[in-house]
Amino acid sequence: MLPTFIIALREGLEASLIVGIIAAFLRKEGRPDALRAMWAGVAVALVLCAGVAVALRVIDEQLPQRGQEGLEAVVALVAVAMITWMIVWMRANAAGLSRRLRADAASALARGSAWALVAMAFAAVLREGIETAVFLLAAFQDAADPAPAGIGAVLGVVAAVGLGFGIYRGGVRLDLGRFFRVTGAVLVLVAAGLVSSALHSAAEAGWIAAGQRQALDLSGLLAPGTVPSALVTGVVGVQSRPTQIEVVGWLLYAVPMLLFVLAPDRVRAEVRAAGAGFAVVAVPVVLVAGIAGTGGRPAAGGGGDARGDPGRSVAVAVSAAGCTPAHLRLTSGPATFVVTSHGGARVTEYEVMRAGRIVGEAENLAAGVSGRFSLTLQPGRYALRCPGGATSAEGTLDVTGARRRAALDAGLRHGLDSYRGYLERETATLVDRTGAFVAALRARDLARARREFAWAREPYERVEPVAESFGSLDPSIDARVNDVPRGRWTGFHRIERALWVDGTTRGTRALGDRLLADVRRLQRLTRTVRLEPAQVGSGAGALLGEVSKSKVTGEEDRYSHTDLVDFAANVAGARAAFAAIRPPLARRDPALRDQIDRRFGVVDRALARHRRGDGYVAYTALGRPAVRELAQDIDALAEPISRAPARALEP
Amino acid sequence: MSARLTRRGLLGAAAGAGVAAAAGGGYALGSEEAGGPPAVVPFHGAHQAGIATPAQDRLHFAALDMAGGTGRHDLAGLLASWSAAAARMTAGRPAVAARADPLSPPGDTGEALGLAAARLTVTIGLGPSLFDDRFGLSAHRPPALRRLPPLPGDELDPARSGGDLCLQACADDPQVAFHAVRNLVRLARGTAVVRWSQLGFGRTSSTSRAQATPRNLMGFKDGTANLKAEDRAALDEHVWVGGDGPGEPAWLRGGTYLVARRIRMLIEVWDRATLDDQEQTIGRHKASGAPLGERDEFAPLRPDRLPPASHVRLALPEANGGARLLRRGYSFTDGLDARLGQLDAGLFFISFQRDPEAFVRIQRALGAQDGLAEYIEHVGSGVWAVPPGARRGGWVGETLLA
Repeated sequence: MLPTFIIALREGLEASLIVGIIAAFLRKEGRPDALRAMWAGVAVALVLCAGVAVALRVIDEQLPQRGQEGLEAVVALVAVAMITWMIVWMRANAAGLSRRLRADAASALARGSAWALVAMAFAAVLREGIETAVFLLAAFQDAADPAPAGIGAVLGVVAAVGLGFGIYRGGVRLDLGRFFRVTGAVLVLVAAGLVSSALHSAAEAGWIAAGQRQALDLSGLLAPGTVPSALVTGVVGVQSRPTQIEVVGWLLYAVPMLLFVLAPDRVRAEVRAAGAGFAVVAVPVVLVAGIAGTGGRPAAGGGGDARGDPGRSVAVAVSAAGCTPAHLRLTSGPATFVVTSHGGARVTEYEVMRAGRIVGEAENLAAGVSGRFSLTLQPGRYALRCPGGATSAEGTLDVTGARRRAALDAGLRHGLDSYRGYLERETATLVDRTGAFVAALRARDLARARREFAWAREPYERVEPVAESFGSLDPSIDARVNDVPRGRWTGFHRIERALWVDGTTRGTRALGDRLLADVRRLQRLTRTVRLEPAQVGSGAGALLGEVSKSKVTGEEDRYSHTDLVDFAANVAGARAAFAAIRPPLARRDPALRDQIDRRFGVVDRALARHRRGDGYVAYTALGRPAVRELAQDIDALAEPISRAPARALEP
Repeated sequence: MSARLTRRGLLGAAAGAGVAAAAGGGYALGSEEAGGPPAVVPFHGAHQAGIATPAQDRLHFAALDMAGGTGRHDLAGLLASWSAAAARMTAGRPAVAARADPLSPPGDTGEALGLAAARLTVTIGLGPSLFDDRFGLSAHRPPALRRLPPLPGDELDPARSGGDLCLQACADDPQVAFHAVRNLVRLARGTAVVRWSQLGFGRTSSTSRAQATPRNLMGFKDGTANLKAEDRAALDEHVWVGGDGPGEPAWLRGGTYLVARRIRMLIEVWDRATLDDQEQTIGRHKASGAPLGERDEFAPLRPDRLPPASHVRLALPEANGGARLLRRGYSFTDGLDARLGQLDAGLFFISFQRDPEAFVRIQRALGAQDGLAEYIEHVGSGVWAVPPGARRGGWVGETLLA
């Protein structure tokens, strides 16, 4: 909520300030016609922003990650240019305003400057609105729950308008010259922050790789996640750990511009203009220098390189002391560690760990025997371990720079994309079939509702672990009677009880509406879920666990006894999830892949024996030997599947 | 001069300390072993362990069936991986050697970590149903290995009887015995499924003269006249398959046959029998374990002094053509018999013999005339061929399948 509030506040404040300045000015000049035109222009700009927001959303969905960062960089630079022009214009005119106003300001206004101001207000709102749309886009995507994020955005806009209004209500009576000077200084800081952000985004887009070392660590002053940090970062645009190029860009813009804005009128206009000019030129120069310093080619392997480029080579060693060197600093991105041994039989392993997990290692190192492993380094701290070392058995690796998407091999990328397509198809089917189910409920057609019940559930059971990852959604859709406190029971099974135990559709209308809203929300959220290979692979095991826990026992659909439909859906979902990691598994352990394929076949045949029509017999029609056979077949399949993710995703 | 002396003195002191440390360490290690049977029973040997081994206190027994669609290759692989895991577990190590990898399921289930080996033995048997055409073994079935014929006193539940394979895990620690069977069953996931299983508490036999005779759930000493591990010649004659007798295949030489019978005791009925009835039924004094009319538990049994229908007399080798069994059973309880609200408890009888016919002959005699038959019923049954022991680097069943 805070990020969207700050974004909306900041962008809204900028727009409010500019609009407020102009409105105050126009009012002071007694130009109600221009004032009305300005407000109209603002309204039009807002509408246009909404349109742009929608368009951006569509474009954003189509763009790969790097393209999005590039778009942000471009937008930020455009914003800097506009603000700079705004500041320069204000500064140039601030001192003169008071004098000219008293002089022939009215005629000057009548000639056309008022319309220039109207256009400026329009442009400001448009620009801020577009920026807001772009920034909010990212914020909403990152938010787990859109509701607080949305509330934050609205509150931010309200606060911004209120603040702007308050400031400029007061501003009407202010000394405009001083007022513009102060606000100009604030805008300089804002613009400098934008310069910094633009350089950050350019780095993430892969345009710049030079100057990526961390220059400052302000996290002591600005603890991330706290309100001061969010305010400062949000308003002034300073990150807690800026890189060198970000700091250079910020300084090269902010210092001359501040001098320009704050220098007294005594200082010659030419000097001041030179300052502004310098700042304006500096930013593109820094950007170009950054790109040129990278050698003109994008940063190696950043963000979604389908070739699985191993990236740079990092030479390290183990010795009797342990990890050599004991402390490493690297930038983020793919890296291949080449570990050699400096002799000594005590230390034979080199491990890189993150959060207690080994993410890369080389073993059995001896003099003349080197090992290598590849991984994608993300910013932050890793631990190095060389067991048996005398002085540096433990070391550190600090990684700076931007987050990188792990370099996935082509087969895995394809598998994940296919699985994402599967998720989208299944959630769409879920929405359709739930719609049909709810329509039957609304029509009070008991027989039809009973028929639609199991069919509506089928796509849900195929993707259930994804639903569970969103927190409260799964209990709302799929809770059984004892899973939730009384009075909070909603979803499929609540309706199931009404249909089969009470034998009526009465009282299901609100439940049906809520169910439909929930599955629609699931569909939306599924589009934005991040898929990691390990998580998808273990999702296959989770689906089979669902079968063991409640489908093979008949506990899931205890009123309708349609458990076998859910059972088959869980197995189908497991198969789809497994398919995502099947190609790398096929390369690394074909015997395991074959075993899993065979055992899927055993389960399919066992289930097929209980088909009836285009569905399955009721659970209660299964004899005990059949239940036992199904349970044992699922165990036999789940055991090798539990080992598959680790085998498939070994570095 | 003084420097040299100091160095020599230091060296001497170091040597002395080293010797003292070694001696102390050796003493400490040695004293762990002294004073009780060794905690580790070797898995490898000419015979499988858990037969002549002095009986441990706890049992976990499981009968398994090979899964549909498996073949000879799967069976051999299963026996090999079982042998490897059993060799590790009986040595006190985890079933599977694996580095802790957070992204993989643990190799060993972990409940025996930190527990000593507790004299764990794992004994593997092959049932008659294994020798059909699924695994190409029908030509190798020993003629003596057949499903036991119907016997008097049978109330057998097919769900608790038979099985392609059996696993007998015995240990002094129940968690160790449970862990062994659990991990072996897990290794078999997808290849074999558990048909039935039985936990046993409290041994009801002595298989060594060094052991005190335990009591079964009837309150009587059980195993006094049992074949003992020290009777090597008797074991060779009555337990181990020699490979030279009629119908004894060479692959089973050094092995034996395991007969298991789940014998339910009608506890409530037995508990209201008079002491005299009980002693007449068994043929021994309850308190001392001595044969009726004697005072010493180990007094030789004289049939003429024992009631004709007494259990001990009917089971005598002389009465059964010299048939002798190595008994190695355990008491069990599985809670309540829900139908009747009565205790479900009794004796999980296990015997090892060179020919299951020995058991059949004795049980026929007992079932027909034994006074004990009023107080018991046989509700489960199984017979398996127990292959010879594995040599180091080999596996149980290699002599048949390799």
